Amino acid sequence: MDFSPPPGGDGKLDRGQREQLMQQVQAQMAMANAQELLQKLSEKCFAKCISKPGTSLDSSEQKCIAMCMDRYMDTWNLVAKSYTQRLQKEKSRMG
Amino acid sequence: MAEGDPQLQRMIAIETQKQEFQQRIHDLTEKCWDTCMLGVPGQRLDRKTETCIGQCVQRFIDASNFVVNRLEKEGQANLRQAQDETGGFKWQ
Repeated sequence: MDFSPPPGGDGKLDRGQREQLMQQVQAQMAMANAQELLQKLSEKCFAKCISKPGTSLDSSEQKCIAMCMDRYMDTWNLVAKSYTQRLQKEKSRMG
Repeated sequence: MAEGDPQLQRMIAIETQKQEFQQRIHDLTEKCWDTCMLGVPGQRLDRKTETCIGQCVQRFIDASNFVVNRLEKEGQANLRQAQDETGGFKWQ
């Protein structure tokens, strides 16, 4: 990747370079979010589903983890919705 | 690199804001999951849990606002008291 300004320019990126840079930034943020979610899912669902670690991850534990992941995602979406609604309410109250 | 490029600066500011929003949702989800998700997760979120999560988000924001407002008020009162006592500015 070469983000150095074009030679002889005024130090600004051209349109293509700017877009390329923003795509990189967005991809990195998406990656950070996915990692965060993955970490939370493992942490929360391990706590919910594996109370006594056995010699393998048995099928009831697997089922529990699958269910837990879906419910955690539901919760994420619900929180995002609730939070967004509140933001909009506060904004209209102030504006 | 972004200093001389206002358009790039603006785009990055927007992305930063988006990222802060996402992070806040991650944090709130964890808090409200711990508070509301009792027992083993089932086929769907039941009504009680859904209600709890919605209220958890709203009350968390209320609590944060309350903390800020109270500290602001207290800070102003302390400042006024300090000024009255010493006849001038003194912090604490």
